[in-house]
Amino acid sequence: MTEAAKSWFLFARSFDYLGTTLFVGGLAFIALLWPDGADTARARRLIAFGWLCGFAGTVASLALNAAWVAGKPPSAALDPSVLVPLFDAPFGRVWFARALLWLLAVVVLADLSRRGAQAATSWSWRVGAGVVALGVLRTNGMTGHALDLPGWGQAVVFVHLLVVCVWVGGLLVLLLAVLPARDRDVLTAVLPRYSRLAMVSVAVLTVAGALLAWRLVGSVNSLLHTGYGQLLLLKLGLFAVLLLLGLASKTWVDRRLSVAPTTRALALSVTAEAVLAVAVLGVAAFLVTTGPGR
Amino acid sequence: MKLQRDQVVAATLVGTVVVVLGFASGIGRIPPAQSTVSQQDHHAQAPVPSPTGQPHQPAVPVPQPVAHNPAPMPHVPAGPHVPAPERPHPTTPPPTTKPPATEPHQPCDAGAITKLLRQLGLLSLLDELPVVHELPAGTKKAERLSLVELPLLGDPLDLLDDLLGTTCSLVVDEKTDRVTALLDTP
Repeated sequence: MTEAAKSWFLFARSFDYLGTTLFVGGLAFIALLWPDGADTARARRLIAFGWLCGFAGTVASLALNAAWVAGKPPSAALDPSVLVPLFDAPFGRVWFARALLWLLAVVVLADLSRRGAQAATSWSWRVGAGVVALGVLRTNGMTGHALDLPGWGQAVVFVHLLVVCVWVGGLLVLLLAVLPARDRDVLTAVLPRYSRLAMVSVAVLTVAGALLAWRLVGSVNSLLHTGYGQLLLLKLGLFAVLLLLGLASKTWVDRRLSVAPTTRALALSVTAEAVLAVAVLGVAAFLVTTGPGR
Repeated sequence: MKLQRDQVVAATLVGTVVVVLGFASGIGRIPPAQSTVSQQDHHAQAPVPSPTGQPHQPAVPVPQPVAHNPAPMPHVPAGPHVPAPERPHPTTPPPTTKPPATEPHQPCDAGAITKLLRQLGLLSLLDELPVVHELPAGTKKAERLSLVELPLLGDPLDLLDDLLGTTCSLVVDEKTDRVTALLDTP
């Protein structure tokens, strides 16, 4: 019964991660790289879908987390006698706060839908969207292993999550909103900017990930012989393939963007990157519910 | 200065996010340890005698259930994380004619550990967790690192880690990976 609740919790948490990445990364993409994208239905729908996944994933995670910790089946997730005590536990309050932050994000989405590019270029919308997004990311680092980390470790977790969202969320917006439009002017303007942002994100992600791995795993032995270490190895393997695909995409943008008749090759590469990135997010959901290897 | 509506909305969002994060951080929350009922619950917990017949002394503070918590949820202290007791520092003074006083061995707090494991649904087949001093056949010692297999989140994991201290380990069946006993190694 407990295992069933845990499995469903992991599933919900994966949705939560996907939604967070899409929502935060999508907002960052619109605010920093492509404000005119706020006027396109594709981009707005994608960010709204990210919000839906994030909110539903958070609420489901909260309920299933309660059932799991209480040793009850998933069906008990809606039982008030299981849910209410969760709010007395620190991680229960964090889940509840996260759900509230997702509700606040509706204000940001509504303003973006109403004013489009005008909102995306205004400082007030950027501040509001930024603070809600950062709040959602912060609550991610307030549960699981991050609680055992010192102050610098929590800062690293936050930065790690932020750059993952900017990179992978941007990748999804690129694949599902920018490339399908086949607008050469937009591609010429947005792709080089995203390419630079992705490079910086990957560099920061590598440093942050290495620091966290060192702090949470601690030794090669733990890396090889604990469940946490093996999951981390799987994640690193996927990340390495992702980097290779990212390098191929960047090379295409640098050399072929201005001369290539179609963007088919880039679309294929970005699609493979996006699929792998979603797989990495799934592994990450398993990692945070597994005891650290140290 | 004339405020526009979107600026007011942004300022309200900032304030609300700060308040929500403060709530998530537990700011302003009264520690349950000050609750009278919690203290009564604490005293109500009877220690479980070990099979050796020696009086049992709790090695670490027993977790206190929250007073208004009807479901079997282990309470996790909201305060800073209390590290598990550590072994004496290896650089002890050289022996003299009079042997230095050593800390008496504190046995495993089987009562608290059993209670926590049962609340987490890990002791469905056992009423009590026997304390052993050697590994029974067909079992293995669950190293602290391998607690990863237990369905615990960060907070209960820390609590269990604190309760186990440095001298206690969980014994798990090699085939089923179920917890079968508590290994007390002085």
